[in-house]
Amino acid sequence: MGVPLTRRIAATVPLLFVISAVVFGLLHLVPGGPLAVYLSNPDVRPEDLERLKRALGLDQPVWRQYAQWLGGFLSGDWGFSYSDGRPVVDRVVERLPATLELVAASLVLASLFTVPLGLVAGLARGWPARVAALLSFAGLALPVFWFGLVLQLVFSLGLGWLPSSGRNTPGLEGLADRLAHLVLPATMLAAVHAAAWSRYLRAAVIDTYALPFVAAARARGAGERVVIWRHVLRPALLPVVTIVFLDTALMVAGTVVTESVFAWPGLGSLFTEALARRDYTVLMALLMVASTAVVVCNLIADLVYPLIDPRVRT
Amino acid sequence: MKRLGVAGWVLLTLVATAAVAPWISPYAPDALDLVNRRGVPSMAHWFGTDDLGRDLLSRILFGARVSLAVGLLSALVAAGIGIGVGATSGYLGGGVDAALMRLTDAALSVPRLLLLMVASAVLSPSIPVLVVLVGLVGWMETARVTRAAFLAAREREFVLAARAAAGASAARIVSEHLLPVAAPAIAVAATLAVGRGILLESALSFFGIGVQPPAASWGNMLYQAQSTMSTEPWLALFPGLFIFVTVAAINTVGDRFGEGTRI
Repeated sequence: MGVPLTRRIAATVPLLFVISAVVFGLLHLVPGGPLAVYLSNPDVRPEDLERLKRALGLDQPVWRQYAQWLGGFLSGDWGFSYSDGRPVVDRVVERLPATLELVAASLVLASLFTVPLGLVAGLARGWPARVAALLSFAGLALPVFWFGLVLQLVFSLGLGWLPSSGRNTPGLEGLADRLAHLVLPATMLAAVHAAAWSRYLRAAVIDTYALPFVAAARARGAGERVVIWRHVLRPALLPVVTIVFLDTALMVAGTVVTESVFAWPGLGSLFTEALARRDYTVLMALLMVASTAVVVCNLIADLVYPLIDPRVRT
Repeated sequence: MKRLGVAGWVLLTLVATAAVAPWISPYAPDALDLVNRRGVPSMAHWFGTDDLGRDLLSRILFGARVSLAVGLLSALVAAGIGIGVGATSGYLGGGVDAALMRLTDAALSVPRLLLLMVASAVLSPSIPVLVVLVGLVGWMETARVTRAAFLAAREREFVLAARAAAGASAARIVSEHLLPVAAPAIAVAATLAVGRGILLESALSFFGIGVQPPAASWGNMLYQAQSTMSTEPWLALFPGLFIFVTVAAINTVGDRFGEGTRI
């Protein structure tokens, strides 16, 4: 599989170039450009605007700005934040751990929801199967931000079991406190994905259950529990694993909503802050990070599948 | 014609209610009642009132018009672009196909909510512009399914016959022979785009950069409700519930389309 692998990796490079050019163009070709926010501000004089433009290189043609940005981006110089003048890389890197923590917790939670939901919806009969199928279907229609508000309402404001915002209680550094803060945002982020994954798992479980080797295992005298866990669930999880990889990148983007509801200090809140201040260098960097995550996760899903499923190995 | 099913009826009721909102709504959506501010749900105000004393039920009914319209129209925009791109790609094939599909891949790789948030924050769009923006980030799925159907049908006998025997023009082959084959798949993709459009609009409005007050949309009602969640939870519960039920109903209908028309 040497050639397809290198070709797959090589194909992502032009893809990332196209994405970066499109996103850069969108940000810079809007009326007024990156400085539009100052145009309506009466305190900013036209000559200040000109000076600012020159200082930021915005008086250059767009293609030259893009070339400059690209060169910088590739060499790790992502420019300086418009709002506080610090290097964009620093601002992104300092927020990264919080977001990774949230995404990791959501991945674990979503997987924990997915397996029982998918199994019950696919194999049980009567109302348990219907309830499980309904739950995963409902999850797909859920407006996530609203779901977050409801979680907050019930478990923080109503029952008072869990904190409603932030990553830890100021002054406290215990693990229990950190975990308590993590539960609600991670649940919110996990819900939609668990719903989607369990629908895939349900379909895969139903298909697998009808295959001859399952009947064969049962004929050999394997107990129903062994049949389901080893012979049905394991092969049925394979296609779902691919989806999990694809969706991990979407989770990173989804943190924008989650972190806003729960005031989680990660990349998602950095994005909303940068948006409110029209901090274009930060926005550009974050859009590229999110898009690269999607492309890379797609690639990983493609590469990992042959490793876990020997049948497609060539 | 298949039976409508519960979801179909729910959807139909929602659309009908939204259409006649001005006649059935108990109050004007922006009528202030300063005596009854932040009122809990009651007989006079079924869903309660907000911080300005506006009737929540009336605002939800009028908000339905905005939310449903943005969902439906943005899906139309998305379907239009998607069919155009997918049909060109699938019909012409070759280099054009490769270029368009690379573009589609690129568009699918940028998380659409983020892109939409940037565009919306920068442009502060009116509702029609918002419709176009939401449509612009939603065409990729339709393009893919249209292209796939075209590729599959392009070499089938009836298409070859139309081209060889009847000497049909490209436009005619596309519209009379290829598009009908692709229609079921397009219908499913477009239906799902309606639900996604409603969710995207509400998410944008939830960040305060979608539909602007005083106009009501389900999303911006949630935006306004967020700050008073602890004291007036009903203001957040009801609009969200409506989004949830509507999108669930649309997805169900889309699923049934898929089952009924699978080729």
